[in-house]
Amino acid sequence: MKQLKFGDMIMIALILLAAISLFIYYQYTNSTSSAEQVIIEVDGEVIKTFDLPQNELVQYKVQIDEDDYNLVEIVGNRVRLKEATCPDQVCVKEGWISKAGEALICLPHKLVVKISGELVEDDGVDVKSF
Amino acid sequence: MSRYTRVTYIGVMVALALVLQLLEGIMPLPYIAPGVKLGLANIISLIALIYFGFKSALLVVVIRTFMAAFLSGRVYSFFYSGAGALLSVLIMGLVYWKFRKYFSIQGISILGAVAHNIAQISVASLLIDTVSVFSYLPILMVSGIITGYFIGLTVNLLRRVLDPMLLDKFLKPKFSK
Repeated sequence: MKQLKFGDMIMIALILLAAISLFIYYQYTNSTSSAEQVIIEVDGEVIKTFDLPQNELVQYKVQIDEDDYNLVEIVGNRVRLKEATCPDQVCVKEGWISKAGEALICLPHKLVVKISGELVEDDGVDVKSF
Repeated sequence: MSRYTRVTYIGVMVALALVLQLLEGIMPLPYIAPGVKLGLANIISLIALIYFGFKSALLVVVIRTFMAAFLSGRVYSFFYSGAGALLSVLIMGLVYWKFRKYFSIQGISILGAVAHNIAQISVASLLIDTVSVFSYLPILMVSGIITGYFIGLTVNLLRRVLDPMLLDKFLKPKFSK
């Protein structure tokens, strides 16, 4: 009863295989990128993009509603969420991202900050920035 | 086992699971990636499944998720952690019921943990309308294997204590030794 059984081994192997193939898939699809951009999305809509690298420090405040915001900070090739008013602070704890395909996600604010290789056009949605 | 005994035990298990879940929330654990956690409450789900059957386990999980959402005040987390908990207990129940011969408790616990993570990521991607959250899935799957294994070990240790306490009194053995 204490030892791992045959089914366990197969299952663990399958999960590991799936995890590794997914990981390789993400690595592969991201390595083909050329021009990198930071894309800031709220609720699935692109609200702002920045080209990478940025030579100067950029701070961009995404206003979610009256009281809530996320402060995006871009230095060189790296992006982080410096401050946020979300309860769990998961997005702030994540720290810096710098590779294409990486993303900072703030679930309570439905905010996604991702680095992309493809060119995505700023679709001119009304940007509430400070 | 009478109805009242069962209701009492479900209540006790919900309380235990809630305490474990909230305790885990305030424990200072190293931060690896969003969604990586121990899943201590799964200990109780497994105990409920083993000693009280699938229906009780489902009840414990549903009540626990509801109450945890209200107690922690994070109602948005209710959707994705609820979906994770639900899928996890459904899969663990199915495997425990049908394929117990081929899996150990650790294996069932791992399956539950990985199912939890997959459901959670899927709901999160629906909620914020993006597929980029799926890039966390590989690390979540690996962490699910590790934490699931240790949660399973813990359940096995608990069974040494619980077997003589619970089995003789009111419960029919629901598993083969």
